[in-house]
Amino acid sequence: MRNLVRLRGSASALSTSSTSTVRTAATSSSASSSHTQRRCLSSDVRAKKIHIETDLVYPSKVRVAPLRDNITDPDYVPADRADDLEEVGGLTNWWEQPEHWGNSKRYVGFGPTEKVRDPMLLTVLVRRAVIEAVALRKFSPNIMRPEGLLAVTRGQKELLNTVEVTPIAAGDGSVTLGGEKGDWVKVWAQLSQVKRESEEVKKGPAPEPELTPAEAKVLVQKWGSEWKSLKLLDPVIKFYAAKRIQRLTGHIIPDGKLIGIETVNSLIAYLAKPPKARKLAEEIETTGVVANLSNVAFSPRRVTPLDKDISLGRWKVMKKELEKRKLPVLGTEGYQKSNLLRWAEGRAA
Amino acid sequence: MKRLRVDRWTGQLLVARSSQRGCCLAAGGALRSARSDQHYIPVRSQSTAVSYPFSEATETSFATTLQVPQDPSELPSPIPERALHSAKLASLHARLSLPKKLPIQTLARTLVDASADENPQFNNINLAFVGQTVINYHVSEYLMIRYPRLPMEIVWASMRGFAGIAPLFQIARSWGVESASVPGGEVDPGLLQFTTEKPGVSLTKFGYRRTEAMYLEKYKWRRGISNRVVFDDDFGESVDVTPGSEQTAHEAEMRKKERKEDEDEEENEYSMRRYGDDETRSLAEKAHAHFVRAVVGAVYMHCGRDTAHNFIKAHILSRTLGLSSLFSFKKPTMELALLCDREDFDPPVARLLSETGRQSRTPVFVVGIFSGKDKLGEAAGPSLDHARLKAAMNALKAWYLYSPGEHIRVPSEMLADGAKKWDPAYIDIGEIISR
Repeated sequence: MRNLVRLRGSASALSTSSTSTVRTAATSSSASSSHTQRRCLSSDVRAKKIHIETDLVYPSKVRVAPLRDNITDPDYVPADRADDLEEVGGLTNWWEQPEHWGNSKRYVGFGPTEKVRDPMLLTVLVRRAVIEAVALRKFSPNIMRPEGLLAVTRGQKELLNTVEVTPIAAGDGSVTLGGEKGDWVKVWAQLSQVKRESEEVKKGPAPEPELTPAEAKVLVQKWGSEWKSLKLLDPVIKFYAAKRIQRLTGHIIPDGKLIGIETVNSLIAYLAKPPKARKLAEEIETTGVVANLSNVAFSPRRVTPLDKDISLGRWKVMKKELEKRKLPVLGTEGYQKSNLLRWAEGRAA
Repeated sequence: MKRLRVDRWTGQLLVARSSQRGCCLAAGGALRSARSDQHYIPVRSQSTAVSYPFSEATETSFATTLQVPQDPSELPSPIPERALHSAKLASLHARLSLPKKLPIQTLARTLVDASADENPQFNNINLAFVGQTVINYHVSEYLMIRYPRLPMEIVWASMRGFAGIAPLFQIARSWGVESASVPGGEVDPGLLQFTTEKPGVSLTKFGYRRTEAMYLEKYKWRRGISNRVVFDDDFGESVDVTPGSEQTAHEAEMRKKERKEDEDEEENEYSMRRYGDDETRSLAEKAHAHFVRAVVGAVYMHCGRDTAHNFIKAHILSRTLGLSSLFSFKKPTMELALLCDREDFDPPVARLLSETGRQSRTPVFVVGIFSGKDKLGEAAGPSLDHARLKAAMNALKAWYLYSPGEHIRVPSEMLADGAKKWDPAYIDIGEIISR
């Protein structure tokens, strides 16, 4: 955002000095890579020729209407007063409109915007997160900024390859990977691929899980429930897993909760818990307490005097009479109580 | 001759209507006029079976051509589907302990008066007619069996006391039914809907429209008891002559007078009429009474005869009516003498039983009326004559209010399966002086 403000400042400063020569690349904003989308001022102020390459949409060049004497249209009637003139275009609120901002300026979150709610899908993704966290814990001392690897998601093939690996219990019951050496290598190879890939993969939003809940259910049933009882004792593994889960599912696990989570099962249970209703009305509707009671009427919002008037049928009459007297139907519309009343109450006028 | 299928007569009342309604709307006028045209087609048929005035085909074609408006307040009454979501209706259903067989939509329909919605497919007029018939039958049979010697006028008065508009209004109030301020489609279906702006449609009545009806009020013609039994309604009141109004001739006269006063008031915009007067009050009472009748009609239609009888016993016949206060005698001593003569008793003799303070400001005389050695009645009064008249009245009331017992069987109980053999009920030869 700071960049944008500066850009606006510079553009306007330039335009005041040489309005006629400003050229924008608004129409040619189909830059493919993030590198090209970045602001690029190749300007030569002294030559008064500025070229700005950006994906921001600038107002188009000012067009001037032909003078009255040059108009050939026989139907043209000149305006006598300023009120008769039609107002076209304008720059008011130009930057308040989102379509005038380029893609590169839009906020992209770390996790998906929609949280994954299906318990089966969540189980599969938690398994992947835990396996990758265990592998990362083992190999992280060898690399710089290991958490960066957790930002990459890749496709379904990698997902299935990772969850194929069976986590097992170490001596103290905590989670670790299988006795075969191949497992560690397989998982680490997938994770560390990011070094060889371009950066744009990292930048983009997390892709939607291509796995359907039905497919996930088949996988979860195949694995059984033994792996869910594995313990998460190492806080670093838990942290890596939580970070990975945020990237894959959109769930953010607060630290306080993370301490309480001790097994894979409790991790899944925490994530799969349906969100709390935001309003009491929503909770009542979902639990269906009132649905079985036919003699109880339930309203998701406050029952106002207007609702009562409507249900008694007198609102239509009141509305008609108010309209007949040209009084405001709803609200007071500037009318206030009598001054006498306020004076009597001892308040200032 | 075709067999009569009584159970089919009111079959159309059992079906809750869908929301595809076309009443009183743009095309509703056409619907109504078509219907009224059909009504007056002089059909003569060899069969005595009732034929529906509208066939199913015409009904569906109306339903498909008419559209329900988007704004519910344009409808004259709420659509039947909304009844399922009304807490008031569910409470009322439970409060009256109505059987589950009676659908909540039908209960909603009983709350729509004809003055709110003119369409008989959505208002309670037909149910109210059924209910009125059932109520009046049970009340009159109860009175006839329980008090076989009641004079006809007292029978009518007690019919009014049990099943007239005033007691039914009280019953509706005691059921906790509230009324909507103005009827409309957006109104809660659990509220009684009627308007006092229009008088509304009447209950369709059987019976005879007197040819001389218009002169009855004008010249104050006398109507004898026998005449009224034959020609008038269950309450002994003559049916109003104008078709489409249910009011009695007396009410009609009152209304005409009031309307004239209102017309004078119409000139200034704010007449007092909108705040309620006798007429609006009577219309409100009528709407409440029709609701109670419609509920009974609905119970009868959906749950059958026995349930309806029990419902009437529980809500209408269980009320206490002071029958002895309904009497008024002009010449009680003469009437008692005639009675003794008719029944071959010894002629009645009044004897002073005791007295106190004859010379004081408040004397009390206790007089007994004897027929031979039997004391027929006794009363205390401030003068000898007054005590004698009161004693005669008490003797007459004792005669007229004879009752064979509290738990006496009524004829309709014989309709139940496996009913015991009928024990003939006491029938009296009639009142002493016919008025």
